[in-house]
Amino acid sequence: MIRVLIVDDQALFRGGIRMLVESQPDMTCVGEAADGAQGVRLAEEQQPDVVLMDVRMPVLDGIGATARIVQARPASRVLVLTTFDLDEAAARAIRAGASGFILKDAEPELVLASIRTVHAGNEVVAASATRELFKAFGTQRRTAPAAFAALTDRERQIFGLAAKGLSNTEIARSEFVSEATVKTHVSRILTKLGLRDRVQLVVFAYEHGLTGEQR
Amino acid sequence: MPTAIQHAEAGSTAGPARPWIDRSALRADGILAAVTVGMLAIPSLLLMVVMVDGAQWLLSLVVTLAIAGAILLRRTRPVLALGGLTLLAAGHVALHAWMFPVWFGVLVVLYSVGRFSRWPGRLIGFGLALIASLLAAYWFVVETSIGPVDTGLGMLSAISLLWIPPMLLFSVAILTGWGVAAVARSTAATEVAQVSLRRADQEEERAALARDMHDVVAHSLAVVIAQANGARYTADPAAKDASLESIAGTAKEALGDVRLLLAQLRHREAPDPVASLAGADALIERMREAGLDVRLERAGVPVPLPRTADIAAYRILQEALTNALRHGDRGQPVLVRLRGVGLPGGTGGIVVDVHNRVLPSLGQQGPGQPGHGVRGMHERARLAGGEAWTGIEQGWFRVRAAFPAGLT
Repeated sequence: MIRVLIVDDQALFRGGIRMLVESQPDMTCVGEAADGAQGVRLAEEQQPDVVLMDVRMPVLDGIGATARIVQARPASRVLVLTTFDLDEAAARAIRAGASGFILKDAEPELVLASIRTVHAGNEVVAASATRELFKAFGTQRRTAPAAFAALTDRERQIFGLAAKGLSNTEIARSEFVSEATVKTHVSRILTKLGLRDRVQLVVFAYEHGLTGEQR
Repeated sequence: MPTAIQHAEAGSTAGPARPWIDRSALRADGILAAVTVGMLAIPSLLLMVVMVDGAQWLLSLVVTLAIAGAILLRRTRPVLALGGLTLLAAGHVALHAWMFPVWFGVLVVLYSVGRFSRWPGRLIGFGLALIASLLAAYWFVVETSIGPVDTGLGMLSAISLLWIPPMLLFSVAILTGWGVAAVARSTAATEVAQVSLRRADQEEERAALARDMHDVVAHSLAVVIAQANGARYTADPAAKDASLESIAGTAKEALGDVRLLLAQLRHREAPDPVASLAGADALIERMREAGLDVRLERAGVPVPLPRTADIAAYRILQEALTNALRHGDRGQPVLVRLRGVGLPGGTGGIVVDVHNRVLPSLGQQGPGQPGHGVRGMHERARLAGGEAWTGIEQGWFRVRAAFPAGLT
């Protein structure tokens, strides 16, 4: 069962998402919060697997709430809900530790798939959208940190593909290796660079100009 | 030396654009030169006819032309013009020529030194005025028959005494120009401030509109989508019904808000080039049409507000009424009072009060954090030299803004 917490200041919006989540046999909604502070409290009480987080909220906004939840309980994944696809606040929430973002008007199938994806933790939600987001709002610091030099050549190749938002399956296919090997590589890369998950990897790549794209 | 700098400027701006020559100003100065010389020429001519010879005639012509030329130069080279005239005056005294009234034209040039030069130029101007007044005093003592000034000491004391009146006269001319320059500068600064204030006003309106659009359209559509999707997926028939109901309710509310937004937008686009409290009646009429029961009370005496304060007062009234329409209890009347307070001496001011009932749900929460609109009111009032107070008190949302009447 995936335990989902919904944090949004609009009760009717929460209600709709709750119905959607509750309709799934593998998901359950463990609570609703109307603002970021309440969301942080409920996350401590309910230990959710996935938190659906609005950005603009009273008392404490989604960015602050994301940072606190991720810090207090690293196992919880935060999925940001946003109105605009190029929303700087969403970029900041991801930098604060959110695992991805989806638009509020996304198809219900995509919303559900995204919840499962961040819960599984091995793929980037809306990879191309995340890349666009960081193209628009990522602050570039050109120099790669020392930790990046610790990657092997092979790991750097995998890093490049993962930074483009490719899933393990896609990377395995293009590099002619097994999916399990890719998984091992990716988790070693994340450990070496001190990153939480794959979306952080995309952010890392953008912030250090390691996407392999000439801009 | 400012004159040296101005020479350098003249040399460097050899191109077609000569910013230091303003045609209309030159034309005005031409007229001024003609009038000054013309008026002073009449007594000069009388003097000529009565008593003097051909050489004096020639000199008076030179002086007249020099005065006219100096007046033409007064905007671009005031110090140079004054220096030239001082030199000519020294020649005049040396030649023992008669005083011509046309010399009084130098006052125009002295004024221009104060008006159009910077502080080093003005200092030089004062120095030249000192010299010129000394020349005038010397001329008086030497050329007119005043008392026993045959001895050197007697002459010295006469000169030092006669030095003072022309010195005072010349200084007053320069200081007058200086004062006018200061006033002109502050007027220009005020105009710039007003223009930027107006521009900030427009930007703010556009930002507020974008915010409103986001709040109304994005929020309610997100709810509609979430509810519709939830209803599609849920198995509970009662929940489906409840969803449809909330979808209809949300959409209806959003449409109402959109209508309101459009009304505001249309109002902003309407030929309403200047916001002013004079338009308060029309504004209130529009608010009544949108469904707000506004009760207007005018009290006190009419007080003219400075333009910036007038704009600010109108905008605050507009914002307060819009807030009442959007967030207040529309079933209750909104009380507006415009009170003019007149104090002796043209001071006083205007106090704008807007009171509206808050929705019962909000009243229990007490005063919440101020929104953009409320913060904007405070900011706007301060910028226009006034003050605004806002707050919830016993179920009323109160806005008060006060603006002092100043120099309009």
